[in-house]
Amino acid sequence: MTFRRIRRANFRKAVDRSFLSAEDKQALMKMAQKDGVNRALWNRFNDYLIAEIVEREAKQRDVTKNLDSEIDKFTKEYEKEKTVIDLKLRADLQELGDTDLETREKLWGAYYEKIGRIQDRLLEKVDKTSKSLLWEVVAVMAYED
Amino acid sequence: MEREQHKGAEAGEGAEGAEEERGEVVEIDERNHERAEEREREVFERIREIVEDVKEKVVEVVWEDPKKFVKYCREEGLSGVFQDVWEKLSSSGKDVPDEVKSEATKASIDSEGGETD
Repeated sequence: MTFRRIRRANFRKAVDRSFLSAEDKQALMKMAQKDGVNRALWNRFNDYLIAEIVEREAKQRDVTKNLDSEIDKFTKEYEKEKTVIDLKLRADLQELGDTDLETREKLWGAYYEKIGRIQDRLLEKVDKTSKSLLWEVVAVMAYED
Repeated sequence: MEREQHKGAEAGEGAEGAEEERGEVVEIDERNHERAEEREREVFERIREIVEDVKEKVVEVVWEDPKKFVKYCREEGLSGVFQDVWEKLSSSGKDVPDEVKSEATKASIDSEGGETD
């Protein structure tokens, strides 16, 4: 593509339609106003876009890493609480012996309730954190536009 | 002798009863244990779905505008201006979705053919 053709293209429109941050767009517009639209400016535009791609890749990696690490933390907390409940049930069942089947079923019922509560809490934490991280990304991208 | 036999029969019945009770205990524990494991599997499957869904949405949000920009450039005949951008996008790792890479590759091909004055 020749420089002549490049110059004919609508620089302002391309900057506006680009995925650069508002700040970068404004900087390019100022440069265009000051020195006119030339090859160097298109090259600068090109460089800005590449920097933005690198930034987006990093942002995506950060969010994914944060999410995985939060889930890992919540799961460990859950496992810890569950172990306590498991051990208590095991001790209660052992103490009960083999004769009282009705109480045995009741102990299991109470176990489900306790485990159900910590599972609900785990799901709630995962859901809340996932939504919050997603909104964080949406907010950053919306701000950039 | 008869008394001894009666005692033996009683002991046998007792052992049988205890064995039966033990069997019921094992059955209750196994059934409940399986149920608890199944429920936990469901919870972790749900977590996996939530996480996967969010990761997909993050990718969409992050790459939606670059994808639109590639399309815009192709439509406006600007592909040749941003050759470096297309190369960067199409050669990126797994962070960039295939759809965007593929569009960037098309833009790169556009810029190589027929757009020069």
